[in-house]
Amino acid sequence: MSTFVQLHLLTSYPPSNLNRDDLGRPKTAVMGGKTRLRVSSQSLKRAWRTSALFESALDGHIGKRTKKMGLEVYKMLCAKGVAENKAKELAIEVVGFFGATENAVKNKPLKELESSQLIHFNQSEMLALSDLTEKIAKDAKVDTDDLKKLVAKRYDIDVAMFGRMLTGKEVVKVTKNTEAAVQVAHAVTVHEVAVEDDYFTAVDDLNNGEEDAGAAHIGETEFASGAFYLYLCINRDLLEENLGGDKALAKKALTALVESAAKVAPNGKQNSFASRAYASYIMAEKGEQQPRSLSVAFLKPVRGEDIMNKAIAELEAKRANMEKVYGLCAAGDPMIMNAETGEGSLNDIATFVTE
Amino acid sequence: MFLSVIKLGRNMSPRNVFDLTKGDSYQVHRLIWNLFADSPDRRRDFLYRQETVDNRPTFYTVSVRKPSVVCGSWEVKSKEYRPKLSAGQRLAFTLRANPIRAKRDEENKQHRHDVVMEAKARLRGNDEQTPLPVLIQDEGSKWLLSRAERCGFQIKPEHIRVDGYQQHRFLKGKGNKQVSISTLEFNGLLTVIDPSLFLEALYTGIGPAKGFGCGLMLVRRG
Repeated sequence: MSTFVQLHLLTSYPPSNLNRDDLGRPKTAVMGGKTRLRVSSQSLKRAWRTSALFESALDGHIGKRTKKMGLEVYKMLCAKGVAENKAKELAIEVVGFFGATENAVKNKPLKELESSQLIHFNQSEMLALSDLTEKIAKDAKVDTDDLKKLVAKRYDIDVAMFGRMLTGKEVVKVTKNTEAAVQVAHAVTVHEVAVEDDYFTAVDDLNNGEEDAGAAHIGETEFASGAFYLYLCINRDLLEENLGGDKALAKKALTALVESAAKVAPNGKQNSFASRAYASYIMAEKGEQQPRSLSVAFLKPVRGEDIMNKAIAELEAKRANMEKVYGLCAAGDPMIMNAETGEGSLNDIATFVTE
Repeated sequence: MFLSVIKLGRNMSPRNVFDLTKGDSYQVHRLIWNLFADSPDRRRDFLYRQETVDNRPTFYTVSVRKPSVVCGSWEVKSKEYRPKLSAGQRLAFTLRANPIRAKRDEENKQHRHDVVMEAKARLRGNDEQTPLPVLIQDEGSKWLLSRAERCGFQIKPEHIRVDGYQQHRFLKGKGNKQVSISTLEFNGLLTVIDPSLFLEALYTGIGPAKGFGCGLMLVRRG
């Protein structure tokens, strides 16, 4: 049986546009028949992974997600005296091991060095790759066995948490595709949000024919505020396994994850809105039962003035009722941090989650 | 032209709202008419669209004249509406329309068919049943695509979302004649091809049955 840690967070953002769709509107979802604001899980994960908080807590254990590793290899080879054409050839071969590369583009001679998908590299892999260029430069050929040896047997924290999806032919044979140990739901508001009104405000843009109208486009709802419910489910055993059984590192990773989930907001439009917010409420559960999100608590949108406290009440009531009908999902009581009443602390949550 | 947002005043309770409309599209239609009818023989020179914002009925109208507020139960905001359009411009849109296809029978009498019902009837008896949402999306998209050219825009099927199929029945006029129309909700992204044709469509509406909250296409920069 695996130990699952479940986190339920309620965070309220002031007017903001954290996560936009292809039209620049805030992303939405319909839940319980009402439109809600939504922040996608990709957006959240990226915000956490790239946060200063994550970086400082887990320095040396975070990899890099990049398309440009080929360029790096190419530059290193050139610096070691390999002729440009040969270096390009070799670099393509190296990157091709990890994933497909881009097609050649006429005016961008180095385009074909880029991989067509983002590839997650572990720190150790990046270092080893840099070392390997020495050998490649000397032999003027790429030995696939060297590359196979280089692929990490354990993962950096970000890969261990959120997975590494690769389709490259060679690398997949050496490394099994890591299953993400952390599942993140899309955050949705606990209340209804209207985003339709902007057709009225957007008229101004159409009237003056300006393509790049600024303030006129900000309708009362285009940049909406909202109290979001966010659910995370962490398979603690899988996380440990992904990290090569390193218990201490898994602990560190969990702490950083809890802290960034509580404190780090997606950075969409941050400069215009400074909508940074901490979670107002966190409920952490720990147990071996099949995990469940409590989003049903908000199927009926929360209404009225005291949204946060009502949402907390709904969430706790739903949990209690779920326990009543299904039996205990978590072993023991959940750990709660409530910034509305000043109860509990983030520290308590982190300790509870890691111990 | 003017684009207006008309909301029921804050002093009106949901009960008042219901009393006014009786949940009947024709009553709603008459309510809006009252805001634009300055003389009994007025012809319709506006389009409207009904939305529910904050649980209150909210109307968007495009009209030649500004709506006149007859009593204090409405909150009206109007803006001049004269979109400067250019060919190739991408716009996001939303539209409620009455999607019907006119057909003549053997006696050359014209019949109007709701495209969704028509497709449903056509598929009746087939072993493989297409789910209704798929039917709505497919038939609705086809309908809109067939109108695109004459309305001066171009649209890709994958940029259309169709849902919200509804059938409305109500009694109209003195003879209480029964009228039934069905509506679909369209959302998506289009490209303006012929600005003057498109402007015409924005001002006068798309599809038949423009009187019942249909045909008003709202657009904004995509």
